This record gives sequence, C-alpha cells and structure tokens, in this order.
Amino acid sequence: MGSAPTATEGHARDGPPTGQGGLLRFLARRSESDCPPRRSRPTLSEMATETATGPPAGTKAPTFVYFSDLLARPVVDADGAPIGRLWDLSIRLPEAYPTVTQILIRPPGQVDLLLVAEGTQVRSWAERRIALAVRVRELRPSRRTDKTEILLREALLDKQVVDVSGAKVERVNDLHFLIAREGQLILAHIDVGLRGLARRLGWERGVETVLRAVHPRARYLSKDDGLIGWKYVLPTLGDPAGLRLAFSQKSIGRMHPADLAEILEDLPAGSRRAVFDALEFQTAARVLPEVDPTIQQDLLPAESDPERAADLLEKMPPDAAADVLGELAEEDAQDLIERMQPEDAKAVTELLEHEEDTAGGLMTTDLITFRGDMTIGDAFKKLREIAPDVEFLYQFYVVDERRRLVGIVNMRRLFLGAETVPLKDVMAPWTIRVHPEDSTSYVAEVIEKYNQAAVPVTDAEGVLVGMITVDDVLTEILPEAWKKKLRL
Amino acid sequence: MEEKAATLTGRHPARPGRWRQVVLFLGVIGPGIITANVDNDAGGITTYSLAGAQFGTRLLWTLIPITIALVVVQEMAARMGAVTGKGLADLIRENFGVKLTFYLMLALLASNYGNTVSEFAGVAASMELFGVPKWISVPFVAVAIWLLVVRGTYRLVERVFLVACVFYFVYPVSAFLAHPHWASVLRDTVVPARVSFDSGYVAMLVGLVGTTIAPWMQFYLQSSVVEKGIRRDRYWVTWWDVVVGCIVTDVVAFFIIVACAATLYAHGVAIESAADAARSLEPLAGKYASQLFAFGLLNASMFSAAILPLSTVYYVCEAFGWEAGVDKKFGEARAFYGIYTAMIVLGSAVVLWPGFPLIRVMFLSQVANGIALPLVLVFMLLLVNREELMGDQVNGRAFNAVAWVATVVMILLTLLLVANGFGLKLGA
Repeated sequence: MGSAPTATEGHARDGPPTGQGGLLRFLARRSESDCPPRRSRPTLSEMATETATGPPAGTKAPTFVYFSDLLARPVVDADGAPIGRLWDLSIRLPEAYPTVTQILIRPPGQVDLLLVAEGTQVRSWAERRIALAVRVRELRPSRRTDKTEILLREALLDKQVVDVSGAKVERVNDLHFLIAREGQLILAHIDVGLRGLARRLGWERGVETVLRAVHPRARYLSKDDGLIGWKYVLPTLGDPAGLRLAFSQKSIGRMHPADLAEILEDLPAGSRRAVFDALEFQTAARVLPEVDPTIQQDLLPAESDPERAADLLEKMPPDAAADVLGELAEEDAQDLIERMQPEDAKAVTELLEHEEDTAGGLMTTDLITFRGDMTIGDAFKKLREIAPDVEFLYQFYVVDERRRLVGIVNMRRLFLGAETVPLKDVMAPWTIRVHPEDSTSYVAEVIEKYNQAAVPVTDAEGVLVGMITVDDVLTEILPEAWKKKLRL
Repeated sequence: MEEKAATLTGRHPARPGRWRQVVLFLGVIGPGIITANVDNDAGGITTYSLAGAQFGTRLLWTLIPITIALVVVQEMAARMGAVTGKGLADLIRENFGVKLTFYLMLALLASNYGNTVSEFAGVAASMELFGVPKWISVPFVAVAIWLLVVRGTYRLVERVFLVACVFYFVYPVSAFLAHPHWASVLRDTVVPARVSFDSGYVAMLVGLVGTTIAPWMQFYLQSSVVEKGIRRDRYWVTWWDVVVGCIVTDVVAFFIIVACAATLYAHGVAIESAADAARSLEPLAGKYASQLFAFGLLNASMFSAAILPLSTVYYVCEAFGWEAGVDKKFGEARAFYGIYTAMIVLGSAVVLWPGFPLIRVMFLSQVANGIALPLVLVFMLLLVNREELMGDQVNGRAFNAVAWVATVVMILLTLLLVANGFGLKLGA
C-alpha cells in the first residue's frame, strides 16, 4: 500500500519549457524536483536567489508585485492618457510558471465594458501606474476567453485552492507576481497567509508595526509568510475540462490516495465532485475507498455517469467496493452491481450479505490460493502473473480440491525455501482462522495475538471464503471518533 | 431519479412514492428543525413571555407575517446550500471580496458574542430556580459545553437537546388548561386589532421579529444543508424540513404568548424575573411550574450556547480559509479553537462579573445584530439571484417580491430596534 505512483506520472514530470527566455528556464528548474516535498515550500528568498543568479546578463535584483497592489493602479496608454483601472489579469493554464497573457481594464463609469490588452503590450508595471505600449483605440473590448485561459480575479482571488505540497485546502488572499526582465508578469506564488489578508484590508504596515513591538518573532513578519509556489497550487475550477488541464501540470497523481481523500473531504461539496470527476480513472479508484464513507456516495457518479461508477467499483478491491455500495440507496446499488462485470458483481454481492461489523463484513475475496503439491518455483511463477490485480501480497493460502483451508504460507517462507520444495512442506502447520460471523474485535484479537498481517476466513465446513487484512481491522478498531462524530 | 427536473423555487417539486418519501424525510430531516429549535433560545422564550404578559394576545397577529418572512429567508439559505454546495460565508467571500466579508464577520462575531452572553444568562436564571447559584452553574455548563464540542461528541448530544425540546409541548397544554377566550385569541391572530404606536408596543413588535430572524441562523442552516450532502434531487425533503421547522418555531411562540396572556396578563402580573415567567405554566404544573420552566429554559439556553459559538467560529474560519473542525489538532486549527474558546470563556465570564455592564453589552450586541441582519439579507438576495451560481434555481419573480418586501420591512424594523434601544429590555 505504498504511495504508488499512478499512470499520471508520465506527464506530471514536467520538463523545462522550451523556447522560452532564460529566466523561465530557470524557474522551471524547480519543477524538475520530484515528489512535492510536504510542508516545505519554495520560499521567496529561494526564488529570488534562483532568479538573481540567473542569466549571466541579469544583474538587477528580481522585482515582485502583489495582485492587490496592481488592482488599485490606473492604466495609461502610450501617450500617457488614462484608460481606466486594472480589473483582471489572465494566464494560460498548462504553463508551469504562467506569464500573464491579457490584462483587462475597466474604463471609468463603465459597468459592462472591459478593454483588453495583451500582456506583451505593457511597457512597465512600475510603481503608481501601469503604462501600455499601445494607444487606447488599439484596444478591443473583452470577449469570453477560451477554456485554457483563466481570469485570476474571477477564478483564483478569494477562492479555495488545493495546496498540493501541504495536502491542504486554502483560501487565496492575494497573488504574487515576478516582474521578469523582459517586462512580463509571471505568476509565482499565491498568498494564503495573514499578511495577505492584512494587505487586502489595507493594514499590512499597521499590523507589522504592532507585531514588531509585541511579538518580534511572529511568522507574519517574514516576507514570505503564507506564500505557496504556483507549482503546488491546484485551482478548484468549476469546469472539469479546465481542472483536468490544471491536474496535468501539478503533481496530483503522485500524491498518496489518503492525502487526496483528505483534500476531497475538506473541499466544499460543490467543488469536491468536480475535482473527483477530473481525476484520472486509476487515481479515482484508489482515492475513493480512502474517503469518509458518508462522502463516498456523493462522489460516486451513480446517477450522472453510472458506467464510470461501475468501472470504478470494479477497479476497487471487492471489500472496499462493497463498503461503498453499502452506503448507497438499495436500488442505486443494485443498478450499479448489474452494470459491473459478472465476476466482480458476484464477489461484491456475496460480501454485501454479511453484517457490517463482523468478520464477513470486513473480509475481502481478493486473495491468492495454491495447491499443496505446487513447488515454490511454480508458486512464484503464478504470483508474477496475478500479482498486478491483487492488493495484498504477504500471505497465501493452501487449499484442497474442495477449497478447504489446509495451510498458510507467508511471503517470508516462500523467499527462504528452495525452488523445488512443494508448498505443503513449507506452509505453517497451524491454520489460524476466523468465521464470517465473528465480531470485529475478535478478529483484531486474533491478528494481534498471532502477530499476523492477515487472517483467513472459513465457513463451517472449513472452506476458505475470504481474508481480513490488518489495515482493514485497524480502520474499524481505531477510535475514528474524531472524523465520524462530526458528520453523524 | 425521476425527481431530477425538480424546481426548487417556492413550490416543492414532484416526489417519489409515499413510503420512500417518509424514509427519505427521516434521513434528511434535521437542519431546518434544529435551526428552528435553536431559534427558541433564552432570548426567544423571554421575549415571547414578555409579549404575552405585557400585551396579552394583542401581538399574535404578527406571527403569521413573521412566519412567512422566516420561511422565505430560511428557504433561500437552504436552497443556496443545496445548489452551490457551499456555505454562506464562503459565497459572500467569493463574490463580494475580502473587505466586506471582514467587516461583516466582525459584526457577526460581536452580535453572536452578545447572544452567547444571553444564553449563559439564561443558564444562570434557570439554575437559580433550582436553587443553584450562578457562580457554580455557569462555569460548570461552560466547561461541559466546551468539552462536548471539542471532544467531538456534540452531534450525539444535539439529538438529546432536540428530544428535550419536547418540553415546548407543555406550553400548548398549559395554554388550554388556562381556558383563554379562544374566539378572541383566534381573532387577534388573524386580524391586527388594537395596533398602537406607543413605544413599548413597537419595541416589543421589533423584538419579536428580531428574536425570530437572526443573522447567524442563515449561516448555520446553509452550512448544515451543505454538510448533510443534500443535493438538488433531495431538496424537496429539505424544503419540507425548513417549512415545518419555521412553523414549529412560531407555533411554539404562539402558545407561549397565549399561555402568558391567559395567566400573567389576565392577572396583571408583570414579569420581573424568571420566576414570574414560570407562573405561566401553573395551570399545567401547579407548584412545579417553576421547575418545569427552569428545565425548559436550561435546555434551550444550553442548546443554543453550544450551537451558537460553534457555528460562528465555523463560518468565520470558512470565510478566511482557516482550518476548522473538531477533528483537527489544536496546532492545526488555532484560530478555530482560539475563537471558540474565547467566545465561551468570555461569554460566561461576563455573566459572573459583578457589576459588569451586562445590559449594555447585550444592547450593543443587538445593535451589531441590527447592522448585520440587513446586510446578510441583502447579500443573500443578491447571491440567490445570480444565475452563474444558482442556474435555473434563482428566485422566481413573485418569490423575489415577497423576499425583498420582507427584507425591507425587516431593515426598517431593525432600524427602529436600534433607535429604540430595545436591547435594554431584553436584559431584564
């Protein structure tokens, strides 16, 4: 159950963009670092150092500017004539460090009209005003942009985003841009900190003065408090197409499914479904079993896309699929089971018949059996064939012709034995087992007492019907109190 | 799902078969009815009792318009929750920016703090009827509530509180046993008679509206709807939940007023203390009236004292994107635990502080309430009419008309409330 990289790995490893300025290449170097380091964000000073030691010609220190500062500024045209105030900026989505492509200007007294200039038409982002290199009559009124273009104020400012590095949902207080040497504006960070909040309220300096006096070591006083590199930010756009584009850029496919599940739980119900729908199929199938059961039924597209829902269930281990189905209304569950492959449907239906807090309700039918006269060599050969489809690979069962349990073989015994030895000579002589109607706590006791990673489940005749793994028992036994009580 | 094409505006949509309806209703029921019961808190019971004792049945006519306004407002909150899947604080922040949100949250924090103080005052008053001095009861209840919520057993306890709300049935029984003149009661309910414009009457009218429609309730209801995961196709259940909840609130108010009118007003008793208010239950409980009343007031106060600070801190954190939730560790959610603890500690401490200007603080909380309510209502109306948020579930034209009229009337009334300094009377 490691943090298995999924199919998204291919394009999540984003190489440096080609054909861009030296600065961009430099910025992109950061994106070559592999897994997002949790809770260690690229700091402002790091970024500054990187850019400062950048292209040999670049001697000027890098300049950063906040979105909230820009939004207050007037825009003037090439002749210095005022046009209006900056209203919004747009970026193109799949870029690693996106350059601002368009700027939207609101002329004074206009409610519906916005003028658009290209990002390259800005001469300077200097202090008090934004000077364009074009005349006002060369500007055109704005039209709805295409899907790969997102408006920062509309889609990001004050909205919730996912911080992939910290696996948390955050609210955007401000955006932080780098002014590149060529004059373009590059989105570098989002600001989720208190400092950003104070800045928006116009109290940044005031709070700073007070804090310096009373609490000189406050996090607020460091300039990069609350900044998260754009690389680690996943916007929660309402529209799945845009989201998918955003996903392709971020390393979301490499997050552990349990972390992704927690993010989904933290998102508002509306965005939750959109984010889940935009996940790659493989990722979605891994995440769903980890999500709180009360939310699973919200995520499974049982009504909007029952085929995808059924496919997801097939992909999941049968016990997890049965748990999800158990949360649904009976007719919805029945409908989905009918859409599943007959084999998976049968496994799930059998599991659904057991009471939830018994061994039968906990067990999975996803297990590996061998015959006693098989040699260790043959067993390894068979394992290599079937391993990709099996979740748990530490314990195998030896059964007779009527599928009655005769022995247990742990992975350790397979490794230590010679290729030609038959399994019946290496299998453990005892057959610890539980029965489907045994209670969860009894199963836990058995696993604890005999130090097992799993325990087989047999019926009254000794026929092997399933297996319970230690992690499934833990989920039931650990005081889930915290999580569950809140949404009883 | 055949009810997918349901329209959520105003009318309830087509529903599935009857038996399934019942099952679904029981499953989804909650947000509306819980909100309604929290609405009848210490301040509510006090205000209704005062209204009955001072004016008899003369103010009963206000209950029908109040109910309509309450249904309209709560329904919008619930619908926004179901359609957008977001809380009200979330929507306000995303659509109106950080400045407005900040000052609105500040006003709400202030008014909810004041309301929390009055809940603890209710705890003190009711426990004193049992003979427990307030310097024992108030700290004990404060600690108990803090632990309940922080240890995460709150939802379970919520059920207990809810069941204890059965207490309100004693008012109808008491009202019937007091043999009021039913013909005039009914006439006063339907026809506004003997309307006067003297300041006491107007202040009481404003108080009735103010105590019934509070700003924080809209946040609480919308978040509960979101948290319950109610979506469009199940919305008709929530619609009923909200409507039933609102009606229950006002039916309770009706019988409290009638019971007080038939007992206290009829005998010319003015309410000076909780013990006087308890006499309205004498036709039912005789000499046990005061214990019964104390039990009810205690339950209402504790219920609200638990919910109010919790819901406040939830939506404040929601608006600013701070980690929130009792499943988070203290270090992860400092703002959440900090504000929550401060509200309970300061809220209860004020009640104990000898010579603290309690009445002044409660008056100021009413002012803050008065400033926040119209703002919240206007925000709600603007949001619920945005097509990019609500799609085809924006308000219908007639619904909008009713909602705006209700909003404007409430704005006028709250202005009156602030101008009259009605909060002074609530503190009695």
